[in-house]
Formats: sequence, structure tokens, C-alpha cells
Amino acid sequence: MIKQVFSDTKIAKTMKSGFESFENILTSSNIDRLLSTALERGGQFAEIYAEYSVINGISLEENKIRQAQAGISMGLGIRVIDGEKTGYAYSERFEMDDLVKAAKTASFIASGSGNIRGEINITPLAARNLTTIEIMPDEVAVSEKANLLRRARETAHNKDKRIYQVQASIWDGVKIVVVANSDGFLAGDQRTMTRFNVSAYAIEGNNRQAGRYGGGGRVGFEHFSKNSPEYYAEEAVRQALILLSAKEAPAGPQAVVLGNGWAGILLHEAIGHGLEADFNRKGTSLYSGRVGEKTASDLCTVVDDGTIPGLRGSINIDDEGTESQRNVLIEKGILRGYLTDRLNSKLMGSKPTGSGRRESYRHYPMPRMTNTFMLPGNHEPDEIIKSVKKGLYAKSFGGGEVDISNGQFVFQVTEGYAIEDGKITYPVKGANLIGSGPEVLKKVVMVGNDLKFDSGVGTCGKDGQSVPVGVGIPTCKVSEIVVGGTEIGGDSMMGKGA
Amino acid sequence: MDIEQFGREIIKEALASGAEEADVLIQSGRESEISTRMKQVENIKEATSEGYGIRAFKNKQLGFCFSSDFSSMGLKEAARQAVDLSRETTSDQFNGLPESEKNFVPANLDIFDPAIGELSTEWKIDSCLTMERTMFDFDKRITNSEGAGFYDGETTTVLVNSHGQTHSYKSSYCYLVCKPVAAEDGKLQGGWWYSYKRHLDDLDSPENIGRIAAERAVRMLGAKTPGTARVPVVFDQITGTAVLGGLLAAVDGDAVFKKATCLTDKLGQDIASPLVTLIDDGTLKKGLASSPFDGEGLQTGRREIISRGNLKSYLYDVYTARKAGTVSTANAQRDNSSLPSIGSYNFYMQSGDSDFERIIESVESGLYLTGLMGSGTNPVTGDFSLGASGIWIEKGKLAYPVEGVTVASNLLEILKNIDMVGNDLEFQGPVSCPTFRVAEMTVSGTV
Repeated sequence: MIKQVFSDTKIAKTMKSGFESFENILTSSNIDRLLSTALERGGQFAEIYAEYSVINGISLEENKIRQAQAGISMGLGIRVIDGEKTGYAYSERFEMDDLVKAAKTASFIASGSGNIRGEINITPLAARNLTTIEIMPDEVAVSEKANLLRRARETAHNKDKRIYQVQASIWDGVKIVVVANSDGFLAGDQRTMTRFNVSAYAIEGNNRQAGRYGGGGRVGFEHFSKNSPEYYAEEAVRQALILLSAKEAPAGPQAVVLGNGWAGILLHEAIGHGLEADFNRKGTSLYSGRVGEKTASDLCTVVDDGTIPGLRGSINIDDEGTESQRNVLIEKGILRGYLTDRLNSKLMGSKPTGSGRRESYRHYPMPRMTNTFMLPGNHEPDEIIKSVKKGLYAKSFGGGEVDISNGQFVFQVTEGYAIEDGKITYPVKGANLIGSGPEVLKKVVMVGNDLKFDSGVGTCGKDGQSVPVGVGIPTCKVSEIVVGGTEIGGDSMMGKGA
Repeated sequence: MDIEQFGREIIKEALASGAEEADVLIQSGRESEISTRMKQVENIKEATSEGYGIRAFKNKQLGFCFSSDFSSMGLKEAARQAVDLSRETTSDQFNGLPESEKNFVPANLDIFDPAIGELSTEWKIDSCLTMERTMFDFDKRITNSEGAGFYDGETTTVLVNSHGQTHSYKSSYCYLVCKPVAAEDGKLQGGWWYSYKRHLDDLDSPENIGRIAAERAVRMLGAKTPGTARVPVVFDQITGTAVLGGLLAAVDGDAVFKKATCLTDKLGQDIASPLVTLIDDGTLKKGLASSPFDGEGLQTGRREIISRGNLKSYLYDVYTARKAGTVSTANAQRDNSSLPSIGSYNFYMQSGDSDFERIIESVESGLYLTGLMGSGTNPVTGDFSLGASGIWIEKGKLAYPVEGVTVASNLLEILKNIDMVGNDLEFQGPVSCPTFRVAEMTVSGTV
């Protein structure tokens, strides 16, 4: 059965042994037995989620390849849903005795007489392959990976004498997931992930600053022919050097121009989380019950799309076996819909949106984002900067966070510049943007024509589960956001520009 | 399965595959989670899990492999792969196991409570329902719930190395949490409170947790955004840990050696107010981060990091200590899927002598900080900037809730400006502190 699912998929070298275990254990009769056991005390729905994953990492510190590592994890989780209740158990041993025990444990959530059902006829669905991986990372020699790291280090040091310390790492992984459920289908996905990181530390006098840059996604090593280690290193160096000359950020409310790309984290924090169906079903999100209402300016159309080839947040199917899709969250300012999984769509009378994701077999899925972005508008980025008399150009960000109930979000500007009289004047540091999601989106007054996605480094945490995500945004102007910083009354510290 | 026996076998295998030194950390445990929402059971999860990570050194090169495959083939494969991977790395004289520790005396840290494993599902459900009931009864403006939960687990940790040493310990935890949502005039405010302990008997009662959680949500209703100002800021026992967390990253011996922290070259200097004493203790009885040995098998201890404002020590593992010409402080943290890296145990600020009420009374106009958001401490520069919420203090009294602000300063400035330390230290997690007051920070809000 598993063979049928993956008949069109080239199984990665490091997945072979996991694939064989799946074939042996996930036979039609075993699946039927596990699902039937899971439902023997009642419940409407039972599901098997199996995962086999291999990761590899290698890191450089200055002139040393410090360590090389590999890891394998495998497990199988069984979920039973009874109304709003979920029972979950997992096993890391692929032996029927252990798996039946897990199915029994999960079954205890339901309290009724067992469902009388016939045999569950499982139909295997052919795996989708939205992304073509040309060079599987598990077929690249470790020494070749080490060379990419050395190239990054050399570039960083050659770029500027003020760089005194360089670290770099490459992580890659392949994972096979298989989902079978009592609705009668069996689906699978082979997922590849590659990631490159560089940190460069710069010093001038007593002033030390770190610049970090990285990227990757659901790509293989062909990625590095377009995104070279030199490119990543130069970007890390550039950020460190800019910070050396940065001044304290002026605090208080001001116009903010969001740079294209990673600033899409604002959409992720400010509205994405608030539109996840679990919060809305429970009525704990400030967006609960507001589909059809105006929640952003006319210029805002926000989409979550898990189908874009190569992006870090992309998936062929979600972790419940539903195909990923393009979901319009906000269309010209109007709230159009939520991101939902099976449990919440059933309870809310809607259709799953391919958003049921989980960190691993150790967790049950919940509604999550994939790649969240704003569609482009028609302004040139230059025009947008020119329109600001006094404000902040927030080009790159660190982490962000949101409180779903009141919509308050915060995120850290890692590369920002003051804008004075329509010109970018000097770099600033230590700035944070803070506000409430709907308020900020109503204040989006210009949207650029330069939509860009982030470089492939985003990880989203929710209820203790981390999943890879992507974000994107064109250059955008928000008429006012509160900027947190250490300098009050920006005027007094600004030099008179030429 | 005999875990210790497995550990000795995999070390034997690594040596047979060509490693000169090797160690393995194995963990085997159980976890369970029960949650209720709106007075109904919502989730039940139970599982056992086990895994190991093996470190192999050959020619002073380092390779690592983790797995959960305990079969004899899995064991051979993992050992061989760790040795193979070591060949790809740079030979480094500082690599290797610590010297064999002759005087290792395993301490009794009282971090395992067998009673937790014997709890019935009904008892756990009942605790959750009680938290939710208390929280709803507290105030009619508590209209919704993100749920109440009981989480517990037990772990056996074993470390075996090629010096012929085998160390092991058992630990347990239990955690109760309650998450109410309060509403007024169409605006929502979430809140939460918890109790987290090694022993069942030490857990706070579900009634107390439910009541405190409700209080914390309700008191935020009607929150305003104040103007931008430089004012005193009082950190509570939760938000204060963000300052300690930032400091931890700055005393990491690896970052210090790389001159990548604001505390580089500051050993022996007065970097904080004399009211500040910070301790890292791996041997705290019942401590949530206590452990008899570190990730490299060294015996843990208690250490003053800052003593009355003076920086006394950085944190080291074996590799970084050798590189820096000092000795390990036994601060190598490690789990079954990671290489050791520097981290703290129970890291806390010692209690001072101020009552909580006196601290609030001392503030003419300022912020009692009860919520922080974001990831805003930069260990390289010490810059500290986070989203914040709390209660505004007017003329020595808690006056009204505030949200939508940021607090910003520099770690070193915050430490120097701590001018009152409360007498209310409680251990509710790996990082703990009493209430403390910072004389002045920038709070940015509207204009």
C-alpha cells in the first residue's frame, strides 16, 4: 500500500530503511486493526500518523569544522476525536503490540459504546510532488558541505577587517510522513529541508555587533548555485557593519515603511495567528465571528499558500493528509476565512484548508500557517520612502510574538533606518514595533509592487510545537505604529542632515 | 531493557569502530497531558519515549549521532556513524572527554516523586475542572477559557563513557496551568497562572491557581497605552526572569571566549547594583533544573555568578574551559538528541529585604511590569527591548492596566539600576527571581 502512495516519488537514500518499516507495518489489515481498536470505545474519527526523519548538521567556528552530526527519529501517533475531545498516544517502536497499546490509550478519550463498523477500506492516494529536488542533500558528501562553510568564512573575513569572528552551519533533513484515517484514505509526503546560517561579529573600538543571515527552504543543494555561501556571508557582514554605525532608535508613534520580504512576519503575527480556527471556534481570538467584516485597509489582500514550490512553509499535504492550498485570508480589507484543520472544520461546519500541522509524531495537529504574504500593490518602493516626512524604514526583523486575545503584537527590528524628509538618513538599532493587528492593518496606506518572500529561515511556535513557515510582503507604508526604543523625542538626537 | 547495559555496549561498539573516546546519554521516560476546556475534557495524551545520543572522538575530532533505535543493528549503526562523522571535522586539541572524576559522590537531590506516576486520570481531570470552576466563579467578566491542564512526566537519564563511568538519575515533574479569557466592552484579555514542581505535594492547589489566573486576566481589562517616559519599572517574579535569561546568554563561556557578549573581560568587576546576587545551582533540593551530573558526566555544584554586584564566574563546559585555560563549571547541558552545550541549572536572584508593598509604594509614577512579549535581548550589545504590559503605578498605588508599550534599556544599565529587591523569591521554574525595581527605563507608548 505504501508503495502505491509513493509510486511516483523517488525515495531518498536515507529514507530507505524507514520506508521499509512503513511497508512492513502499515499493511491494509494492520491499519484496519489499529483504527478499529482506536474506535472501540466510540468516537467519530481515528487517525494514524507515522513519521521517519533523518537530519544532518555540520558547523564551523572560525577555522575549524567543529562538529558533524546525524540523527534519526521515528514514531507513530494515533488520534481519536470524539466531538471536541481528542485522545492521543504515540509509540517509537514499530511493533504491532506497542502500536495496539497506543491505539487503546488513545481510545480512552471516547466514552460510549463502541462503533459498530465494518472493515475500513483504505484507498491509497498518490503522493503529490509540488517541488522537484535536484540534488538530495543526503547524497552530498559531508566534505562538500564543509567546503561551503569554509567559503562563507573566507568571504566574511575578506570583506572587512572589522570582522573578528565567523560561525556557519548547514542543516538538512528528509522526512517521510504517512497518514491513514477512518474516513478511508492513506496519504504520504516526502519532505526535504535545507538551511544555511552565517553569523559574523564586527568590532570597532568597544562597539561589538553581530550580523546574522541564512536561508534555504524545501530545496536541495541546487539551492547553493543561486544562493552561494558568499552571498549569505556578505549579507551577514553587511548587517554587522551597519549596526556598528547605528544610533539609538527614536521611540514613540511614527510612520513606518516595512521593507519587502521578512517584514511579512508582521502579517504572520498581526493577523495570521488570530485567524487560526481553533482560537475562533473557542471565541478567544479578537477575529472570532468576524468573517465578512472590514478588518484591514482596502489595499490589503493577505494569502496563506502552502503550495509554492521551494518555500520553507510549503507542504504537499498537511499532517492530516489534506492537500495544501491557497487560502485567501483578507481580500481588499475584508476578512474572508480562517485556517482550519479537520477537528475545527467539522465543529465549525467548514472545509479543511490544508492547515492541520504538527511538529512531529509526538504531537496532535492544530491549525497553523504555511507561507503567509500580502499581494503586491502598484507603488514603486522609492515613492513610498519619499512620501514619509519623518519615520522608520524597518528593513529586517528578528522574532515576533502576538497575544491572540487582545491582538497585541511586538517584533524586533534588526535592520532599520531613520527616514527624514523622504530620505533614508541613518541606521538605527534597538527598535521594536508594537501594536494591535487590526489597527495596524487599517493604517496600511501604500503597498509596493515588489512582493518578496523571506530567505527561508522562519519557524513558528504555538503551544510548544514548532513548524517551519514562510512569510512575504511588498514594501508597505503604515501611517503610524508605536516604535519602542531608548531615545525619547527623536528630534533632539538627530543631526541636521545635509 | 537494561539501559545501563545498553550504554556500555554502544560505547564498546564505538571503540571497536575506531573511536578513542566516547560517551552516550540515554533517556527513557513517560509523559502525560490532560486538559479541560469549558468544564469538559478536551485532550488526553500519553506516551513513553526513549532515545540516545552518542559522541565519538577520534584524533581529537568530534562526531555525533542520535537515534531511538535500540536494536542491536541500530546500536551498531549509530556508533559507526558517530565515528565516521568525526573524520569530517577538524582535529582540535581541546576536544575530548573530561578527566575521569575520581571523587564523584552522587547527591540526593530529591527530584523524583513516585506518587506522580500513580495519579489516576480522574484525579487529574478533577484538578483541571476545579481550576476552571474557580476561575469562572471569581468574576463574571471571565467569559471564556483557553483551558486548564495537568502535565506530568518521569525520566531516567543515564550517562556512560569510555572511562568506564556510568551515572544515572530519575526525575519527575508535574505542572498545573489555567488560562482564562476575560471580556468587557467587546475587548478580550487573556491571563494565565501555573504551578510547576518536582513533587506532587509541593504543587499549589487548583483553587489558588484558578483564582490567581482569573485575577491576572480581569485586572488587564480596560488597559490603556500611556505616554512615552523614563520611569521606574518594577519587574514581577515572571517578567524579571527575562533579565536573568538575557544575562545567562551573556555569561555563556563560549560566547565570552568569542568576545560575543557584553560581559566579555568583565570578570571581577562590579557590573550590577550591590543588591544583586545571582546563583546557579545544580544541587538545589527539589530544583526544577537540578541534576547530579552534567552532560559530560561531571558532578554539578552551586556557584555565585554575581555576588553583591560583582561578576564572579562565567559558565563553561569542558571544551570551552580548555580553550579559555580554565576548568569546566559542569554547565554542559545535553539531552538525548543534542550535543552538550553551555547552559544553567536553577538560575536565580537571591531575595532582598523589601516587602512587595514597599516596592510599589516607593514609585511615584511608573510601571509594574507583569507581561513581556518578543525576543528582545541582544547578548552581544546587552540591548534590551521588549513589548510590555502591566499596571501603571500612581503615587505608590497600582492605578490602571496598560498594554501596547515597550520597555527598553541595556542589560548592564538594568543591573546597575536595580535599587530595590523583594523578599519574595519562589522557585517556579528553572529561572527564578523575586520582585525587583529598576530605577529608570524607557517605557514607550503614545507620543
